[in-house]
Amino acid sequence: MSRPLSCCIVILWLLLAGCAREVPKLYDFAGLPEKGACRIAVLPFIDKGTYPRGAVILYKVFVSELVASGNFKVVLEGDIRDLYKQLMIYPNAQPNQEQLEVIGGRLGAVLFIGGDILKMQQRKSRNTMETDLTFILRIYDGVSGRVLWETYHRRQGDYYQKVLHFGRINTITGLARQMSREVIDLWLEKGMTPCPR
Amino acid sequence: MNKLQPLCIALFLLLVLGRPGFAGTIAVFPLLDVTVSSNGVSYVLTDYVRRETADIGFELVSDRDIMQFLIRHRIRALGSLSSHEIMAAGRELQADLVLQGTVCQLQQSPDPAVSLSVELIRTSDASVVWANTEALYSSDLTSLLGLQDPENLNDLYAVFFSRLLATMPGGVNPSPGSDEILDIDSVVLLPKYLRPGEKVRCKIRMQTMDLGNALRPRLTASVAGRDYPFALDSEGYYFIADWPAQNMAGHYQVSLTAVWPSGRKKTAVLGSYTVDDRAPEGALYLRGRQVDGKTFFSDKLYIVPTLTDPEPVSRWEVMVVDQENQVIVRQGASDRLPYRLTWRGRTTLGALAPDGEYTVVFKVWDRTMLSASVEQEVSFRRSPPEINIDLNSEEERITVTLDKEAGMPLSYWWLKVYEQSGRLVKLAQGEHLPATIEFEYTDGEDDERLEGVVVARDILGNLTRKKIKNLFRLDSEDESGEVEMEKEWLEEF
Repeated sequence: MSRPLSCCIVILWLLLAGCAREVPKLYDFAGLPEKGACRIAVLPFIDKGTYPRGAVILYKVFVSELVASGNFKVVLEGDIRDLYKQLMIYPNAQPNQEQLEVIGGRLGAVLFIGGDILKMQQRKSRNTMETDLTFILRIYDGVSGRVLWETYHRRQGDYYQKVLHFGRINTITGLARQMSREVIDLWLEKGMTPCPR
Repeated sequence: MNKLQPLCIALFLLLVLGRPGFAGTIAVFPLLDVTVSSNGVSYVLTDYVRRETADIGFELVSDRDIMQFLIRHRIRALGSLSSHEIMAAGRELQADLVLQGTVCQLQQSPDPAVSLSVELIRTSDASVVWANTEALYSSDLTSLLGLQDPENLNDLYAVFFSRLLATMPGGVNPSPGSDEILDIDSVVLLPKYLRPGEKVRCKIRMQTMDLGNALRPRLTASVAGRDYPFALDSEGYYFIADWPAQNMAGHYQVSLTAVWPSGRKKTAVLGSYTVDDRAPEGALYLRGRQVDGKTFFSDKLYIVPTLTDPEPVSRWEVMVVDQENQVIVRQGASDRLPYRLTWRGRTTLGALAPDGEYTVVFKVWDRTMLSASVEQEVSFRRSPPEINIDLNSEEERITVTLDKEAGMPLSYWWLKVYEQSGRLVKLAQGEHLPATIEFEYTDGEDDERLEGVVVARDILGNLTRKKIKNLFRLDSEDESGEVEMEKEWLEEF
């Protein structure tokens, strides 16, 4: 291969790589509370995917990762579901601003986290399991219910594959866990203040 | 002896640190299994978790006691116990910790896979102290040489549960807080929208209504800087507080303040309500033909009811009232305003309304039942234009005079005069009546008849078509029912 052609290919590759969307992508609409986000309530996610009970799975995994990050006090899912019942909100519906104010005021949450699952898929393909997950997570103010941050994330299990089959994520739960970790790490990196020790 | 001393110490440390230490009592609740259904349970995996937890050193609450607790508290949804239930478990099962979890994935074939999410909750303050999710797929354990690769779920279980609970703490510090929690069971705050001075009632029920007065917190509702104490109702079921709505319009948040006999104080938001002192402003648009500032229609009238300052409404009504003040059409709903209504000139019973003047009335009520009413006049004209024809003939000169009765202005008219043979003798057209049409006619034939067709249409679209078989005798007949499709269609076209 001639040298100029090689250079062109390298430049083209770099340009295309530059155009690729970098995820997780954070959209910052307003600043998080300066005092820190100690107590967080994770609202049931809205499932627009096709995986059976995908919203429940992602919810459990995300909460687990949030607790495991060791920085946040997370409101119990049962308390949130109780309030949803009291306020007559369907688990797959997004509460309105007024309802968010009540939920925040009742649970003493500084922040809410809610989200939408856009795609959740796991299917067998020849000898491998293909997993695919796309979601949007939003951080709301616990007092006003206003959206502060929004994060878009999308990954497939083979993204993490290193050599042979090693590293590849073969379960949707595993992929959800990995992506949740990446989002929480990004939030901490971007200035989400954890609980004071 | 001196040589044996370090050995004894080492043996003692091995015995003390080597055996599982007492880490507290734990209640491992049955795992929710979402692979089965939203309320599925996996007792098999629960047993695995119980065994692994016992190996860490926790003392287990018996599964029989846990089942009785679930029945006693009517807990149907596993994996998501509330604070109240966790604290009750602490009291009733003498458990320091509760472990609950969810089976997210469980697959036996073709490739075994399992994933589980668990969380450890301290019962004294219902806080999550540890959580973990683990997922394992058969190929995750596949080695390069393919030796001892997993073939079924049991092969996965051999390593899965130790991995799942590997980071679980062996013991948990007691909570610094007290046991007093504001465990609200239900809140009824009504009405949500009201006028100044109207009564607001807030009813709350606590999870622990059966506490005696000595242990029960003093409850107060706080709104806009004023406090209203709650009192127990006669049946002892609800705490109730009433107060008059504020005089100023606005959105008011209601907070609950609980003060326990110990002096501890907690607050929570109960809800909110809106005070509205302004009636809605309705507007009504009628889409018809405007003539001299009045609205006319013949076929259909579009009625657009709206609000000048939009707000949610509780009810609306649109009526059509005739000149005798009788309501001939009434339509309404306890819903949002319609985008548009169409009146086709018929009464609610389906009969065609007579031509005349009508009033369209739009009434609307907002959420506080303050109402507004707005009305507009409309004229209904369904009758076609009345055309009078007169003919004078002087020798070979014929004069046709067209005139119309009072009514709507015309959009157009035309007159065609034919010979009996079908030859067109005269075509005249215009937009205004009366009109005079003159033409020469010499009849060379035996038959002296001349046929005429007159068409007139008013600005509302009402159409008159007249066919006169013999203009000299003017014995006209209305042709509207006749079927001469091709000829008529072509002329219309």
